[in-house]
Amino acid sequence: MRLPRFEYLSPKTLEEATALLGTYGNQAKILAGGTDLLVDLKKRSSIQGSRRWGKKERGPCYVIGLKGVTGLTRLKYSPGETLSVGPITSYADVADSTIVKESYPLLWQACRTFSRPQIRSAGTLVGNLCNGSPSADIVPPLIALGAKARVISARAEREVPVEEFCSAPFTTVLKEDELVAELKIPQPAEPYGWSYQRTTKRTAEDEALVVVAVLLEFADRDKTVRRARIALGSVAPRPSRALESESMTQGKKLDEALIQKISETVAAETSPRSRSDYRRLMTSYLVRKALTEALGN
Amino acid sequence: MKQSLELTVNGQSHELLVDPHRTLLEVLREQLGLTGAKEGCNLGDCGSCTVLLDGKPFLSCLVLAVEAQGREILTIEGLSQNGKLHPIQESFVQHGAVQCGFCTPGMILSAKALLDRNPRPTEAEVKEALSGNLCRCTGYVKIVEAIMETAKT
Ligand SMILES: Cc1cc2nc3c(=O)[nH]c(=O)nc-3n(C[C@H](O)[C@H](O)[C@H](O)COP(=O)(O)OP(=O)(O)OC[C@H]3O[C@@H](n4cnc5c(N)ncnc54)[C@H](O)[C@@H]3O)c2cc1C
Ligand code: FES
Ligand code: FES
Repeated sequence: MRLPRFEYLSPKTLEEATALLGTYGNQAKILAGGTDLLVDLKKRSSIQGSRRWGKKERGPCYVIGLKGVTGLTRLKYSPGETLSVGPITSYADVADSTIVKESYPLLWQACRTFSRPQIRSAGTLVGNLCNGSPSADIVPPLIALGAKARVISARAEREVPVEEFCSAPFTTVLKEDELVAELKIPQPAEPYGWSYQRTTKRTAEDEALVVVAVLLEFADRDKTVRRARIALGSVAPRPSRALESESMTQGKKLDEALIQKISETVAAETSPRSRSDYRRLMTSYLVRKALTEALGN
Repeated sequence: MKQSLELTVNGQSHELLVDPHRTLLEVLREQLGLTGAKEGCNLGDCGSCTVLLDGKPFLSCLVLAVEAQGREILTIEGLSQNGKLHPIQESFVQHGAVQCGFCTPGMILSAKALLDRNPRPTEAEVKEALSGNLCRCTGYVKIVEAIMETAKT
């Protein structure tokens, strides 16, 4: 499979990139690591692809590569405040960072174990979010951490909470002329516990069947929960929070009986499109495991 | 429209005219005659096209050649020095870790990326480092043995 022809544009600044998006609209696509976009373009231009999508939807005429943008931050951390993740920051960049390891262990663990080495070198966190896949592995941890995406266009700028970023499978709130300039991740308040759990299909890409990311912020050392975030991936049309389960933890100390009750509730908060019984069962199991682990982490 | 670019492959610089929709794999194989990186699935699944960019493993079927400019590209052809095999290559030969050989360049480059960062990996770390490389001859046991042995020496 080969790539279709396109023009490659290499803006030097993000302002230039948004200007290009403004000019070319849906004819253009941003290229970060390319591990989703290039695969998609190859499939679309193949014989099977042109049957499925038709000639018109073969893909963009303009590919806007962000690699040439100068001065993009990879990772910027202001202690006690936020971590900023740039649009070409790869999983390997995050996995190699001792600051992330120490201050954002949930994110570090998710990036370090993401897919496989070659995909960690090339793939970006922002690309994972913008692709809009319901099974995107990095989106649940971003949601659990309360991350926001800074979205820019030539006209305006806005911040979108990651939990509101995907609207349907492979659809996001981004407009044609917008791009994600940065992810802003607040520092969790100490003391806190976390856990990242996932189980996969047995396919070439080992796509996720269920992803669970949990962040518990405790009121004090005796681990009364002040605020919980339980984020789920691959069990609904978009990654989302299990709000009812979260509220069950509010002001409580988690014991085995409560964890059991939450793990039953959480299954009902999913809406898988396929393999639903198995996905519900695994969500239950992984949430129980995650809460137990988060108490110890 | 073709773009002119300069690629540094195995320490040598090449000036080329390349269409922007060409992958690094296509340019290595078809324009530079470096056929060590293999085209298997061409979709990111098999790892047989693995090359190192600035020391990190990348799938050259999912990298645009125009975006490989300014980076140190290492392919399997650049590993042996003055006709002498690299220790990982030597160990693959000694352990019979090569059957048809199609996956071998990718396996060896993934192993090199690991050992350059972590000269004494555990077996689990070796397996993780190879998790993006498929061998259809199912020679994984010998491949892992060959890499563990190199790490000891
Ligand atoms: C072999 C293989 C294994 C994989 N395994 C996994 C896995 O285990 N888990 C998983 O979740 N995913 C996996 N993926 C999918 C993919 O690697 C990830 O989603 C990756 O994070 C995408 O990032 P990228 O930088 O490569 O994105 P790209 O392909 O460059 O971009 C993805 C999409 O986002 C858009 N985009 C990128 N950046 C921006 C921006 N700043 N603003 C607006 N739009 C933007 C692009 O236009 C495109 O539509 C796998 C892919 C392959 C090929
Ligand atoms: S040919 Fe690149 S991963 Fe298979
Ligand atoms: S030796 Fe044949 S594919 Fe690995």
